[in-house]
Amino acid sequence: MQSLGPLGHPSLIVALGFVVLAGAMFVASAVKQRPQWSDSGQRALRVAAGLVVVAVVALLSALFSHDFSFEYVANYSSRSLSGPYTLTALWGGMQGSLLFWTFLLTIYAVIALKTAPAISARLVAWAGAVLSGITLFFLTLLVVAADPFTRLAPAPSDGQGLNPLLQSPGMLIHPPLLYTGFVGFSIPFAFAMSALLSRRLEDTWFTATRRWTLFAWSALSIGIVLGGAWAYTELGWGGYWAWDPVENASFLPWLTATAFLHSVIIQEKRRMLKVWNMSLILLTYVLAVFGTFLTRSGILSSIHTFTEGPIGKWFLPFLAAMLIGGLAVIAIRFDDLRSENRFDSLLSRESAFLANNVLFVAAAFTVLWGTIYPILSEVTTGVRLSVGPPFFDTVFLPIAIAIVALTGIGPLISWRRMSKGAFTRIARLPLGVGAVVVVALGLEGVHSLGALLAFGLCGFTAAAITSEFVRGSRVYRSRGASWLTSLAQTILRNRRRYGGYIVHLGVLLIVIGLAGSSFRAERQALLDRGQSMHVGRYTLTYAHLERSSTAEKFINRVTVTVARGGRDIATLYPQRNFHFAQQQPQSEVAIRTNPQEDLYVVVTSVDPSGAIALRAFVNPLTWWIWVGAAVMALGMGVLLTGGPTAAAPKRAPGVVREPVLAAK
Amino acid sequence: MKTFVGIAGVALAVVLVVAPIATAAGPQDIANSISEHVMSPFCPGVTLHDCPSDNAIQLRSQIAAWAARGWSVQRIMAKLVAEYGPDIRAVPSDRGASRLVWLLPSIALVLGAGTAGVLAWRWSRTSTDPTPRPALASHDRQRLEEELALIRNES
Repeated sequence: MQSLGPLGHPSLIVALGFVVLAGAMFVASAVKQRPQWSDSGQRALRVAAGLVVVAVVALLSALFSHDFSFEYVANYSSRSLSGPYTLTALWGGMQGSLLFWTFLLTIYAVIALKTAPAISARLVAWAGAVLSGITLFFLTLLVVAADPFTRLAPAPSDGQGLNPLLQSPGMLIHPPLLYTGFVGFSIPFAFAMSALLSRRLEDTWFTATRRWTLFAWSALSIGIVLGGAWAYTELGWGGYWAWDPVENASFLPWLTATAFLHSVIIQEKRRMLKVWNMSLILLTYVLAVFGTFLTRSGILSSIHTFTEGPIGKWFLPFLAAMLIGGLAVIAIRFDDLRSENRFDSLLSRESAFLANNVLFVAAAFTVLWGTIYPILSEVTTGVRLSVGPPFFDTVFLPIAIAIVALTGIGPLISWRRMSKGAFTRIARLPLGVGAVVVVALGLEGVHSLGALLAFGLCGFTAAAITSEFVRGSRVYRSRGASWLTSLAQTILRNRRRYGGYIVHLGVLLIVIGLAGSSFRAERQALLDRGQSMHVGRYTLTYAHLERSSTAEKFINRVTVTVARGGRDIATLYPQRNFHFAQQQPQSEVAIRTNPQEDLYVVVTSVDPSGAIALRAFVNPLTWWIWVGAAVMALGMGVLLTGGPTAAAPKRAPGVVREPVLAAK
Repeated sequence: MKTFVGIAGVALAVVLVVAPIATAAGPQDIANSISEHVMSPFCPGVTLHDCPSDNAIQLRSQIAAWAARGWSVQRIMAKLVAEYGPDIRAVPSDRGASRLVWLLPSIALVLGAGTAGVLAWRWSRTSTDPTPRPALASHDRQRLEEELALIRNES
């Protein structure tokens, strides 16, 4: 296969030129009010996107043809690396992942501008200008500081290969989904800034980008869960979330985007919280880029690495420009963003949404604070302090529990106002279910306050959401339809509402799975053949060791028989391998999973005599996390196919507000 | 009756799925808990519990051995800090300037909730909707809810 690698760098340089041209055309169109210039800008952006595609194809071609004259190819692939993992090498390193980011950004920008409803040429022009500006930054980074096409002379005969941990099926999907989410937020961000710049501050900007926001959020959500699944099956420590800065970097924009998705409903329904929504979408995009800065700049290992790193010093001014520029435009348009309505009552769905937003933003602040505190302490005191999982568990969990409670309370409260009596009546059943769950678990010997609270609130919230489905279905039932048909009709007739509830049910299942982890059992032991160890109710016996070799690795395949109550119930085959290219050992875990608990077995060492170190975990309810993610994905599918929102209520008489300004 | 059956069903499901998950705390449980509260000296940015290196495996075994000898958690932590330095703690102490790491999230949450609460209260007091809302009779309320449900499902 002929390497097209040499085409990569020139393509990026020419793309840079076209993006500058596109940006200039968009700005000129917006300022001079010439829509046809905006069309020219879009054409220039399409050419730039095409050239970035050429660069991506060039890098893929270099990877697949083993063209080790490119430093990136030599660093992240090898001749023995299989085809699918050669593909993952595209985003396995910093330069490749930035190219992949730019590729997604240009494609999204072209599609978003092309499919933007015929609303306002000026809105589209400013959105194009913002997207061109962002693309310009990433292309400059690729051309100057993080070039994936840097040459290596002399070229080595083989590459270093991909980190064995990244050679997992999850890595084929997890990073692209995260990038899809991160980059996807650039579209609502660009349209929000455009609305501010063009003073088109009615609903247009968020209705035009609603699907983009949902799409980005959905991709990020699934990407985060898949990252957890990858950690669970590959890293061998029995868990799925470690509050690692890289995980936190993906979680931060998810938290603010979730807050935005909720608060924008208030803007749709009541034309309130406009400043807040603008700030949230700005914050979401800044955090998405900040996450990339955090994980790619080297700042996490040390502040000194950051100053030495190739791209850290590029990101900081870009982030500052976006944040300060965004806040400045919001401040300038502050009067135009005044709410058109007021809360009618503290006991209303608007209040519940507001509380939800406070909690999500507080959660985001907590995670951000814990993530950057080591950096701040190093800057201010010269001493780097650790902030690990116990901090996040302690501070984040109460907020998460309150969010679960609000997820149940929200659907019970009506918009505008609700009497306390009506609320008490409607909340009786969910409260009863929650109380029964707590009592039942308490009687079964569960005494952890946190777990009781989490399971009880899950019961409460599940009952509240289920009763919404029942209430909706009753209408169709009264017309003679079956329960199943009624449920389907209920969901399909109002996909946004019920799709959201399905997502919430998925979240509840995930919370149940997370709460189960507080009952985890763990044991480790050194075993010779024939010896056993106990974990939870299981007896694990080291039965057999089989050794073999491939071109990539030396394999130690261990046979572990699993018994419970004196009866053999399963055989597991964990591995401890040695990868030649990286000179690195790697464990392959074995998991026996069911809805009640996972038995998770990992061999952490094998000595020449055949003795092994075996680590085993019993992880209760973990299965529900993955089922919850699947339910969430189903809900996201329903949400994404939902139509535009119902008409917002008309402005209440007598409200003093600024008129909605038409485009100049 | 339906409500009772539903609640009983939930209780049964909870008992069947979640019941056998309580575990006793032995020396290895103490060692596991400690390893989750200290950073690994061998894997940067990772707790000792999650670190896959051979040295970490040995240190975890050592901690389990100390716990089996009856050492208290405080004594084991003190030993680890003496050997590897204060950075080994997975969280800064809650004394002196380090207390800020614990306090700031709570302060932010209280301030955020307070601000939102005050704003919501003020907005609800200055509601501009002049429509009076007479109390509904129960049969009217039932009919209204049915019709609202219809509208919701049509929209």
